[in-house]
Amino acid sequence: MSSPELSVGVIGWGSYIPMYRLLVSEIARIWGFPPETPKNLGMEEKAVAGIDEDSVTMGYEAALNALRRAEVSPRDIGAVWVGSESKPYAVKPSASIIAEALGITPSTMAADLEFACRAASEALRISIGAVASGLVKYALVIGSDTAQAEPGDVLEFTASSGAAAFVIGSADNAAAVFEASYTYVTDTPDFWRRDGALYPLHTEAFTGEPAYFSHIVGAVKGLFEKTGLRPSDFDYAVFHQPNAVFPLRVAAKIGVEREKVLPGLVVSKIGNTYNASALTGFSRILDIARPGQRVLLAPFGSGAGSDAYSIIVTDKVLERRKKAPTVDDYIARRKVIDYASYAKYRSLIAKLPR
Amino acid sequence: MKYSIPRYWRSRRNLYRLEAVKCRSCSKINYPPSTTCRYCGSRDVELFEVNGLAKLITWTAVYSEPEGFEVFKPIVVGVVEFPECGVRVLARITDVDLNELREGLVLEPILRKISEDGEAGIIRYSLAFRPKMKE
Ligand SMILES: [Zn+2]
Repeated sequence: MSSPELSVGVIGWGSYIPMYRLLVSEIARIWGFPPETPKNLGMEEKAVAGIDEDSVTMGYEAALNALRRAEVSPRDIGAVWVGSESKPYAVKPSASIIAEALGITPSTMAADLEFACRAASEALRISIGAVASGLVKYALVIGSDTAQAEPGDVLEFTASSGAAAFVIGSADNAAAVFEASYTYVTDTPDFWRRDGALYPLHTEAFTGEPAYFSHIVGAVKGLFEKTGLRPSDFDYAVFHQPNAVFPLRVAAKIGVEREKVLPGLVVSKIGNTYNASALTGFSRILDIARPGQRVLLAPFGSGAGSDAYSIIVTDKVLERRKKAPTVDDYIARRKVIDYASYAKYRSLIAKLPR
Repeated sequence: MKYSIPRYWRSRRNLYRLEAVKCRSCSKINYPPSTTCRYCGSRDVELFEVNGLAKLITWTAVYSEPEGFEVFKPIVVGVVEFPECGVRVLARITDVDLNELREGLVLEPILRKISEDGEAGIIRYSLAFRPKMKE
């Protein structure tokens, strides 16, 4: 059975995590949460973007790392797609700024996509089609977010900042090859932010079962039915990481062992980077996997949808991982800040008119 | 809205990327790039992108900031040099505490937000430098 995925793969991958960290114990101290609240989410600390960072600057650095690993000319990139729910401009593409800064313009497609935390994953599926059809030679897919959370909302323990990027191209030159992919989407209002609203709202009990779990299970089951693959065929599994508990619980539902999930589970140290969440976990797998290993990747976005991918790592992964900083390099680069600095960096302080 | 949009638009390439020219006649590097070599007058020059690591030469912290830069202060501005081509630029230094600054500090160029034209106006991005990451 021939599928478009088989001719397409990841040529280069790149990460970015800002250096500032806010301890969840500091959030609990400020808002009077019992210490169990962040503990029950499996959280230790989260990454916070600095005062001069946003989803454009973070996406740029992740993309630069992906291009370094891919070693392709920016001129050969035929599409730049950015998945984000924290665009600096409501109207004006982030993709065109990043494409200009990387020297990809003007001969390129470029657009921002929105589907909560899975827009960048939709961009991955689109890029598979665009590369397989020959429409473009390479596509650059970026997931980048400075996730917002209302001060005092339980979401504040996890909502963080980070970016992940991938150069997608022909399987011949890939560090990891797509084997199959499947998407599962329904209209499920578990989390949203209205136009002009500063912070998102979410339905506490609704985010788990009917949203996160049923969509990821739906996507992964669809992938298994399409391919005949089983949980035992995979060496690693990476799921969207809204906290450190949900990915392990969904793995149990699917029948994937905990040990296959832990290597890609980065949320307790950096938080939920939204569009970069599962993709940062996948980047960490590419940082450590052996050639021939098979990865199950399943991002999720509220609203709601999930994509499941089967991906096989090739021997090209070994050389390329040395060409840019790894996820662990970024996790190790860390400076703890207090809640006041976090409030300033993330514009939580209402300023007087200038 | 106070910023000149045409001015930002014209300069975006210089803000986002660092380019210089090498003279084919006398081999000297010209920065900022120009169509004529300022050392020998030759028009036979070649544009190239300056990248890699740079070193901090000197720096200062700016506390009385221009409009649009308020939230970024103190703004650390430094002269940095790329040892391989000798290009020196004046740029923002970021992700650093004032007490970490020293001559010869190894830096890498990255893109950052430089200023904002109020809540509704344009956001200006530019290359800035931060201490090289440990790998
Ligand atoms: Zn000359």
